[in-house]
Amino acid sequence: MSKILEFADVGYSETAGFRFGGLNFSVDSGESVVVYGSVRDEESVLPKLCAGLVSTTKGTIKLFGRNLDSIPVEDLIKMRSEKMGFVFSKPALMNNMRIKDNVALPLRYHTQMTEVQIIKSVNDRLQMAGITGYADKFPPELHAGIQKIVSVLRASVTDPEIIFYDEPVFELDAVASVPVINLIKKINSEKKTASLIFTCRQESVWNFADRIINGGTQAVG
Amino acid sequence: MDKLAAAIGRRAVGAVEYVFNLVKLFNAVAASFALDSVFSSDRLIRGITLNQIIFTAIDALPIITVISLGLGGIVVIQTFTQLSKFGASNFSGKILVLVFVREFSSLLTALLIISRSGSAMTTEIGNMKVNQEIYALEAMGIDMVRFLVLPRTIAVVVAMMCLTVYFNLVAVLGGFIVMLVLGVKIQFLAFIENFLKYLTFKDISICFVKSFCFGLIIPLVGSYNGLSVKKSPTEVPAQTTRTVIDAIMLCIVADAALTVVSYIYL
Repeated sequence: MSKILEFADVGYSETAGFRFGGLNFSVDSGESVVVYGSVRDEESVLPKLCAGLVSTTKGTIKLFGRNLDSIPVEDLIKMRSEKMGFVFSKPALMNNMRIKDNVALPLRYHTQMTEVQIIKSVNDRLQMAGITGYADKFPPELHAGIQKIVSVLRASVTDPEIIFYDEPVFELDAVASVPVINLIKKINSEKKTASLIFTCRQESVWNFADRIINGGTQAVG
Repeated sequence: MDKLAAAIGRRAVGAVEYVFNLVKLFNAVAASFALDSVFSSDRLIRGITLNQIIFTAIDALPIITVISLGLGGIVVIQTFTQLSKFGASNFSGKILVLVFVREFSSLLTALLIISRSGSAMTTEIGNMKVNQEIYALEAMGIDMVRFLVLPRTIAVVVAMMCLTVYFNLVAVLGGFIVMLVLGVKIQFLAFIENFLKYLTFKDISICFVKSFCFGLIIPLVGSYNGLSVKKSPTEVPAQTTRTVIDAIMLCIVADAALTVVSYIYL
């Protein structure tokens, strides 16, 4: 198994707010890893660090064997579009696009697939999550749990090698969390997509993960 | 006194910085436009552009119609009645050309687009920022300028130019209708002929140049202020207000500059 992501003594601090230090872990291909912390990461700093949208203040991150700081911006954008998927704590769906168009967005923007192929791919995904009935709805019309499912589908539609989940069940009750967690499991097992889940909820629901790591995050100020 | 001078200085530096950032955004849009075959290949960007054109141009037709008809009527009443006293009613065509084609059609259309579409752009993009949609797009490797700003810029430029032409046509028609209501005996063709007699290529060029400039200013200001929202939903209405004020101010400054240039060099 090849290493997709490596954190070596990674630290991050803000003058006021979120900080952590000395985080060490790695994610292999097809693996699912949960990193939990004591305080919720309000700004989704950890996934943003992995995406190169925010810089570390200590240590190094390696993505697909390359040091994140030395990857040119163009290559990083290409990596994000082809090999990485992101699910933020808020669903972050395009509110002016229908659910099917939200899921299709990465395919329409990044690939040369025909419209027929895109529609088929999107329908397959919606069917996999059991939400085909919502295809023509707009995000604000839907329950937060369904929005989160759509967000997961959008992140996985390009078949990336790894998906970063930031608080995937944040603000969801126990009932609404189940389909989201099941979908993450399904994508991990069926598509062999590695999952890295950042969360402050250390619950038995993560027992499907290959590893659970204490991130030791904390807030100051 | 020192504090006042310092405050004025800070505002001036802020204004220069703001305009500089708008120019940087314009450069990014121009680069994206040059590299991208927007109208030929990318259906996603094309779709966003068309939606924006529909919202900015088609949906604005009723309000543009009412305003241009009304203003056309007002201007014709004033010019025709005043000029008639001096036996110079023949020059009403010239006045219409000067007032509408050269000056106010593009500016008034811009004001309407600012209030409808400019403010809507800031609200939409600002809310996207608050809801982390912008981060999500960046994380997906989607270029902000190409996905959000470029389609809006193309759409508003196209809409501005089309609506300005429409504004002129309806204003002239409005003027004719008002003259009929006032009981002035004039043939429609004679009225149009009188208007066209004074309309020159220079007038039309100035009108289009102004529309084009306003069409660039509005989406750039709207998008930039939307992207300037940081975290809080309360920033969105503040930035929307800023868009309306800044865009109006920049359009009027540009209008004045273009008018001066046109009188000096053309």
